[in-house]
Amino acid sequence: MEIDPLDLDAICELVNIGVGKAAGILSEMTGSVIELTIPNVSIYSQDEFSQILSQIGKDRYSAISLDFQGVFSGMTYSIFPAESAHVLIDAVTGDEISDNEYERPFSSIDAETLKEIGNILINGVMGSITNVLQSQLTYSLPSYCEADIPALIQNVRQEHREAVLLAETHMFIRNLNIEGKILIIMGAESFETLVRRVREISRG
Amino acid sequence: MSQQKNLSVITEFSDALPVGICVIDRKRKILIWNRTLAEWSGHLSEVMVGENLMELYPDLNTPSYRSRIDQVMDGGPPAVFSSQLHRSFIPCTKADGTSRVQQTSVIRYAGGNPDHPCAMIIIEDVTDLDHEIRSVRQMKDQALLEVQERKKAEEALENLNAKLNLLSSVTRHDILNKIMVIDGFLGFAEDLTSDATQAEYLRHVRAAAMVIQNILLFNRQYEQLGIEDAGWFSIDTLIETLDTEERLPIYSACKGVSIYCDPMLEKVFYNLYDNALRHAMGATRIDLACQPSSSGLLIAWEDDGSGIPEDDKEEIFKRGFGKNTGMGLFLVREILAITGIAITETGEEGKGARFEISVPEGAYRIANPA
Repeated sequence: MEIDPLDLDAICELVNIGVGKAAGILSEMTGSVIELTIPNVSIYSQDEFSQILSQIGKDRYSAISLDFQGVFSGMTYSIFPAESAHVLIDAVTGDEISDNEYERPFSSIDAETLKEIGNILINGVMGSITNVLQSQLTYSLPSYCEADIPALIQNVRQEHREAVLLAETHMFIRNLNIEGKILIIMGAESFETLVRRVREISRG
Repeated sequence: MSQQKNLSVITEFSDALPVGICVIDRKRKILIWNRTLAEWSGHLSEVMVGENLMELYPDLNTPSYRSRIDQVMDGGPPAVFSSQLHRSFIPCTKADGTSRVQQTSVIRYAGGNPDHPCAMIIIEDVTDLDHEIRSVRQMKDQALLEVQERKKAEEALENLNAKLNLLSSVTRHDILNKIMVIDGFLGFAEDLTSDATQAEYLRHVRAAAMVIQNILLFNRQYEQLGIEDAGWFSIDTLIETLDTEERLPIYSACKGVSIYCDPMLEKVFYNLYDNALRHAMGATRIDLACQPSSSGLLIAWEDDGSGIPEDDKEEIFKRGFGKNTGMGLFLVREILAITGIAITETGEEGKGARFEISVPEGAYRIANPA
């Protein structure tokens, strides 16, 4: 399905609302002002997946995933590069941020913390999307893994990986710049449903 | 199945689970309070069911809990509450008085009636895991602290060492200047004196001054040992830089061999050659061979001179041995030892001296012939 710049603008706005809501919850929860930049949103069809790698690299990410089913089916990931994930954990837990620890593996408690932050981000964005869709979805419990982008995409059921919505944002906590991304991997039909609903709302 | 029946089935199952389970309705009224949660909280299910969760636990009214639970109730994805950001969802004290650290998930449960959704709160006890991770972190922090302290001590030692070296260098320089003056004036005095005994005494004084000079020169060299990082050096390149004399040529069969050594390696070959010139009476050549051995590489430096008496084979490496400065072979052994290389004398008196240099595995490489 072809989308024009107006569609992309509207989807970007949706993601932005969700991210803004997440920032509010995170700020309240941590007692620190957390700002999230307006996400840079891009959409890829199945034959353009290789472009995602050229845009965001081949690194391994700390990824929090949420599977969803209904009129809109697929998987949402909130992903952080390892260094950003370490800074993020230290920043939200109030731990001292040390430069030489970014190579250390994540403990299960670290993974739980990341899972909660990713969960808040995903829920913000998915909340915005389901508001537009006006439909109830069924969700799995969020889970945590460390993988590169191809493995994350491969992890999604084949019929639900025909389009990828990539939203890149930066989180600022205690003057720290933390890189984070949201990947929504969905089937072509789900993507069409989303665009159709977005058009109905934004263009009347 | 009615919602009531559903709840009854869930209660039965949840009572068998080792996690705390609480089900609330939209108004936050408690519908299920399982056995595990009753045990952890000290509040029986019979007492808790029907009560309002938010009234019993007012902390759950803060936006970070309330808005996320609302979101779940409204059909949003499950919410997770990690132990690092929320130590406990429902405060529970253990028998020893410590708090039970919790990890909580909240999921929506329609229960057959979408108009009256419920939320299931699943609480896992991660106290032991949390303590374990914290204790590992403490150990790591302690280790990091020790490393930092050690680094500081090393830096202080380096500074102190630099100061001592500076002092030593300045002092050495001044003494060498004065020795030069002493040497010059002793020379004049020797020339001027007509008394043979006095001249003899002056020669002794001058010789002693020269010994002091040699000690200081050795001291200057020795100070450089281990200062610079070890590196790879080609044997042939070092031999080529030696100022050899026609009467004592060096024949090297060590093409392409490099060894890992202190940069003062050139002094090793310089001293071995100087030693041969001074002491290898009748020598006409020096042969240098490199042969892999069971423990690494054996470099043999061999002359065809008078050789070294059996009793002196180990003595020659001691400081002060010999007729010259007595520092040469001592320094040679010290330089090589920095990277684990050993040197011994194995020649036969009367047939020539043979110095065997044993290079350990990993400290030598042989370039493939082109």
